[in-house]
Amino acid sequence: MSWLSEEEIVKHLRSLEKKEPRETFVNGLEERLLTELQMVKKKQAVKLFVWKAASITTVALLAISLTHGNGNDNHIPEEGISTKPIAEPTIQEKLGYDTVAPEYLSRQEHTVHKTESIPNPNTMKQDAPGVEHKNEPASSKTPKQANTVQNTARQQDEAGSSLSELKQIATQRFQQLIGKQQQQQFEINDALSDYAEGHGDVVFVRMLKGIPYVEERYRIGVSKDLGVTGVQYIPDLDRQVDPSMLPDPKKAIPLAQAEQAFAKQLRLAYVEKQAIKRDPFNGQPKVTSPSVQYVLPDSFYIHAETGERVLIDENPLSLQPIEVKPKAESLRVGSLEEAKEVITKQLQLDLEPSGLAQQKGDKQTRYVWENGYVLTEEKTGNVVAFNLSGKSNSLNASVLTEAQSEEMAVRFLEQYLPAGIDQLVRSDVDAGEHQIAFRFLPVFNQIPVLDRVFEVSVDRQSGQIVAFSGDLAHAPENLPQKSDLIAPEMAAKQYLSHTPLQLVYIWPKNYEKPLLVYTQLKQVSRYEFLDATTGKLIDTRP
Amino acid sequence: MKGMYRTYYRDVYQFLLFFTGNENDAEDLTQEVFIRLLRALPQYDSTRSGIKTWIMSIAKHTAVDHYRKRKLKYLFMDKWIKTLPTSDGLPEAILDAKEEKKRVEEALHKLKPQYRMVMILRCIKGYTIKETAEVLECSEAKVKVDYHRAIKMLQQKLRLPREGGWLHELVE
Repeated sequence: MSWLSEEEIVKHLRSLEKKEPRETFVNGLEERLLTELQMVKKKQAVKLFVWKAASITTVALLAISLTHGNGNDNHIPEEGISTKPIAEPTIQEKLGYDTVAPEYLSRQEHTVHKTESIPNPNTMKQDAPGVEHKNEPASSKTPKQANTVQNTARQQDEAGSSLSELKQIATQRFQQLIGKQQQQQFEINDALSDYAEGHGDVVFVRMLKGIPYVEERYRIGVSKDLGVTGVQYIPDLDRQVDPSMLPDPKKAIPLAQAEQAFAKQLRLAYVEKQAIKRDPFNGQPKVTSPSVQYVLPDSFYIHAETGERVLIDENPLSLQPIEVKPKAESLRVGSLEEAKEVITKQLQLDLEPSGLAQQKGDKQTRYVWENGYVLTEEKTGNVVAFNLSGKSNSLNASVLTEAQSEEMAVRFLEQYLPAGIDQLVRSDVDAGEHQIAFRFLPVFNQIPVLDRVFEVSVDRQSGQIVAFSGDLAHAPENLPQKSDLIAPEMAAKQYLSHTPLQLVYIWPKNYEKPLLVYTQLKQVSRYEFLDATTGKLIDTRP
Repeated sequence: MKGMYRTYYRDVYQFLLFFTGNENDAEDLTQEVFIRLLRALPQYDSTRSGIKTWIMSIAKHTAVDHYRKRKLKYLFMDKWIKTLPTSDGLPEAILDAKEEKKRVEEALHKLKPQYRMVMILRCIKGYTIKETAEVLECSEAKVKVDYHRAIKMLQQKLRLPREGGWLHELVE
């Protein structure tokens, strides 16, 4: 393929199709927002009323205490009664929001305007403004905002009559659409449906041999007040299902066996700074705590006949630990002069004679030259990243293999890794023709730490390390002990009790016929994690 | 609120769709953006930025947050970047154009998030440098630098499609 000019690239980008969102989604979301707004206003009104009542009570008590006092001009208050002037409620108190204080918000906005980069998660302990990190494990006390998910409350309306009303509206419309006879071939699937107060999306799935065939379904948007707000048909147009080709559900393994398979694939991971409370404005963590969790897969299919896991469009990763002997050498830069030394001698990066400039950011300092940069923590000078972006490569030189490149990367890390990190696992690799990039995680107690990523990029011609990011100065701290963990079977049991596996037919691409599998139809939210010390699913939604 | 939603939902959705490359994710995130917006509306200060810029900056934060979480999850998700689909019997010229567009889109998704957002806002949504800088909460100079670097990276990726691409997305 020939080289594209800037104009051609821009032209291609401009011509990319700007897809419209689904009408059902748009209407449904609007409905939800209006409902939320009403709830917010009600809460606001209640809080304001309570504040007013409290104020009046305080004034009354004050008046009583003054009236019954001993006449002393000093007005020494009786114990327990405040004589402070009654303050005007803050905006938060008036509105009843659990939001960020204005002074914090303006400080954060100011900080954000100064920062020119997305903060490196590895340095969040030092960098992130306003984030409180608790050293005790996330499960040691239940944070206010992180609620254990006991059921599907966010998706299912607990007011049974409201929910059945929505289903009734949807069913009537569905029957009108496809006729009573056809309708009997479908059933409502709650796991795929979405309910909130007064509105929702009701999903009808085709049933074959008594089992949901999820490739064909209807989604009907409904509202208690407006009725049907939209209809979406998700057909399986490419293929016609012949019921005779479907696996016999009677041959399916018992649910318990599938649940065991689910438990077996649960993997432990540490998250050193697990968010347990988030900023409602931008969803960023406000309070973090170390946690150990069982990582939940985004998609999970167990073949109902063989009990084996079915991988669809997936490549399993190998998490073979790599033993390392950290030398804990210092990699830090305190000044422009030191930067030149470190860049040229320690990192052996090409530094143009024309110059190195120093730029101060938010709690970080960047040393920049034409072909690269080095990023450091402002306070300590510890290097947290560098990148030699403009390095040219000779195409005539021999190319290092992936294994050889990985060895170069590990050797580089070993030089600077802090004491206490004895093992790494390689979590990802992205191989290009000229460079190959690796991601490693440190391992403690045979458990990888997910948010302590070391990224190392190797030039495949020279073996030089041309890019890096990570926290080399500190080993992860206060991680929960392995003795506090519960067995994966117990965690899986609790988790599956409210997000159960279901027996369904799927027909993935590149398969000749449908499969009968156990799977979870409800998707895991990015805000949820499965605590490995309690087995509870923690929701950290802002 | 209703008027604001109806005015801006399309912009937010399309931005998130180009950023994630996935319609389900884009819907999910669009919902999240407007829920956050609803809760943060009392704090909106019109002297700091226009409403559109403010909404898009919430979208940007939401997108980055989603991206970070997915990057950690990829360890156990066992998912790789999807491959190009096979041809579907179209005439060659049309197929070439479709393939070209798909390659450009794929290359866009391989850019690091900061560059991706600059390209989406500048080239696809047609924002000015000033507007882009306000949404991304950085300087105009940085927008220009990132734009040129993104063009360079796209040129490299489209010339050599196997070039690696995700390093240091969370830095800079």
